[in-house]
Amino acid sequence: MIIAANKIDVPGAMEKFERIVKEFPHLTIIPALQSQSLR
Amino acid sequence: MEIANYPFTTIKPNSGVGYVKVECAEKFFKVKCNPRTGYCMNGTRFVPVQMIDVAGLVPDAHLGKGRGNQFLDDLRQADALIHVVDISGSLNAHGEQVETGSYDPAKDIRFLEVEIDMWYLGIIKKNWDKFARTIQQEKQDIVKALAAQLSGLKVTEDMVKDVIERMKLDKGAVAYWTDQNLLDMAVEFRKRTKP
Repeated sequence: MIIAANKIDVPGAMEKFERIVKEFPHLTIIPALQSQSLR
Repeated sequence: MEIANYPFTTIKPNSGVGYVKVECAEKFFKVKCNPRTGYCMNGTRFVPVQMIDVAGLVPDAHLGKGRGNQFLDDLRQADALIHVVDISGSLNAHGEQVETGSYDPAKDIRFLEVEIDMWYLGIIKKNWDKFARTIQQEKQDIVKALAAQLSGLKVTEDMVKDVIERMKLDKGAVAYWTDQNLLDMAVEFRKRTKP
């Protein structure tokens, strides 16, 4: 499963992202900006 | 298409096409590319990929929580899954807005894997007892029969053969495979068919 880690640009999100990358090494985790959301 | 920040905004699947950009081989072969699908622009190929946005799940959807897991049927033919997670921790497991940073997004990743596994298990277990008895009594090939049974999930004979061998299951005693065996098999098939 591919994880799109959305809202990486929100303060505090980068710490959560780094923890998740360590916790789920078997998954492909891609950061995404909140501003890239479809509108 | 409705876009909003409340749970279950998406109910019916939304289908669209996205494009993967790759360098085209036209430069190497010194020809002009004319692709049958997608398009080519200034040496860059835009390869079309069909995308389906489906309704979200909540923990225990396979037990009927939230709107259940009926929407998962929309994923049967998918070659891969992309799970969009709010990494800022501002949405809880039910898709409700909470204080930013207060929710652990790792929970979403864990529970979705479980829900997909349980969905696969439900499909495998449907009529399993009769299916297993018939295979065993009539000495049918379990690999072919199970692959045919699960072809809708894109499970192939090679996958079934490999999983059975790795799990060291007795192909001649299918009716004695345990619930845990079937769950382990569901997890393996999910990993291979929906990477």
